[in-house]
Amino acid sequence: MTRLPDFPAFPGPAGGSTGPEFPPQPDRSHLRRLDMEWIVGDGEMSNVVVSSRIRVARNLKGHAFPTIAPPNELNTVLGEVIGAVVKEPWFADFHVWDIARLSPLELTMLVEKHLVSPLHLNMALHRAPGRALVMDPRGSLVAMVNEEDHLRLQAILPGLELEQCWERLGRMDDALESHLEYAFSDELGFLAACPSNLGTGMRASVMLHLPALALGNALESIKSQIVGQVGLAVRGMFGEGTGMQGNLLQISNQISLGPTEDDLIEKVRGIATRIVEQEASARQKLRRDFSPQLADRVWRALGILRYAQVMPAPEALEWLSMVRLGVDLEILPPISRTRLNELLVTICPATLQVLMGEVSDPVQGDIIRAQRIRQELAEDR
Amino acid sequence: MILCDECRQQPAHIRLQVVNQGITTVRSLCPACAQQYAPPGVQITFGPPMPMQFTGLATLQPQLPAAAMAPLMSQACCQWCGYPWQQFQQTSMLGCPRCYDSFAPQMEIVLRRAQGGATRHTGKRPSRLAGGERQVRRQIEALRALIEEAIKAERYEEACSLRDEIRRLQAQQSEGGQTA
Repeated sequence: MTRLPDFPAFPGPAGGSTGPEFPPQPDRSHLRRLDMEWIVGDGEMSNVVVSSRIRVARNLKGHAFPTIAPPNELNTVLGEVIGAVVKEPWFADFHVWDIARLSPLELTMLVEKHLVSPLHLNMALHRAPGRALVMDPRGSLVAMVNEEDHLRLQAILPGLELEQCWERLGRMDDALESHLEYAFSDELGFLAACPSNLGTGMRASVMLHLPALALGNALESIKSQIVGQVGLAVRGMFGEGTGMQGNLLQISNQISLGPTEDDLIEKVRGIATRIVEQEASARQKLRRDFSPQLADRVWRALGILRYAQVMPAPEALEWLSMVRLGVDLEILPPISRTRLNELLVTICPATLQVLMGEVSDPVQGDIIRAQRIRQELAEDR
Repeated sequence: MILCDECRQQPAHIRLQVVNQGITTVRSLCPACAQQYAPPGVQITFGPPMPMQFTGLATLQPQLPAAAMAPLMSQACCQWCGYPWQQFQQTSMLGCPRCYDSFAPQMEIVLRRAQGGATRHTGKRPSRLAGGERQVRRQIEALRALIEEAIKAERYEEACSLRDEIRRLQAQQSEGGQTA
């Protein structure tokens, strides 16, 4: 009777002696940074396209997917990835995080900054073994290790910059691949745990801010335009069932096998450009035909945000959307796009608490949120 | 917690269905004891319970005539990792890269639904496979940059010959693709 080596009856807790060696952990203060490129920077059509993101799924040959791989196998995969990152000069400035050691707030902050997926957060919170994060300090390039696939690589930039995202992501992909052997089939492309991620393994998406279309009640028709096209999906920014809070909408491709990476990028870019044009004319029309009402609306929004004492997140998003519109149209005094993008993140629960102090109930949370917003949007800033 | 039928010591994570001449017996085994039932080269492994309850169902069939195999497809398991097809039907996720080979016939239908009918990858390939292809691509990019410069400097003859060079490389590229 053969015995399987090193096989625990039940998976043990992470961070034990069975884990691979991480390089020395970076300073935790990096996790509190808000100077992400997508927050701070500028890109094409930044007044409507908040950010562009591309992620690809990659898996290593000869290893089970994270879905069923036992802890020792997950740690082997992790060890190989860490080995590659440590050896490869391209990753010299990157941070390698042992996310099992991060606090729930720090981890959730990463999700709120759009750097890590909720699934990866969930794994880390459960202290699942073999999970890690490889990230450049400004969060433009991220590699999640052992999420749904062995590697989930992501690039996120401000504005409509899908080609730039792919250019940078492609280099990270190549840098890793020069030390690792990817699972790849001539016919099916890069193999993934879920067949919906085969082929290019690519999900290209853009986040659009569409306040004028929203005011004109045109968002539903925009949604049907997108969904009418084969292979595109649209959703709100804040998860299933939250609708288009803050007039923020995310468009992404659904098909990853068949077209080339450039085809997929072109498809998403194309629809984004068309919608940006529609938003631009909707803004012009508002300005032309409803100028006093429009000015009133955006000034009221700014007024409320400057003086409210209790501010729930969904409400904050609606007012912020109007303020953003007001600033874009130069009706309101200038407020930097960086500050407005930052607020999109700092009103989220984990980031808010990291900046303003932990709270024990939702009302307290709404109070410190209002406080933060007052600080950031004060007249003298 | 159920203990292994065989060794009575380890927890039984694997429920093994042995079908012999139409008679099915079920044994509850630990991974080590289940190993003895595995055909040569097959490793029986057990995955962690999260994020889903997977209790390593491995179904092994003795040799049967081809006609009898069809109704058994739903009980197929990956030859490499033991992941059962039924689990995929519940979770939409596979166990390992080789599952795509093990479940090739079923995959066709799945892909039609998940990828809108597309069945062939046309995008980026790993550089290890592409080999010279990556180099050729880099050469073409460099030439394109040179063409732009030449045009700006109004050296049109140079731009023309650069363009011909690119065409030559592109022809070489598509030839290489056929043999891949």
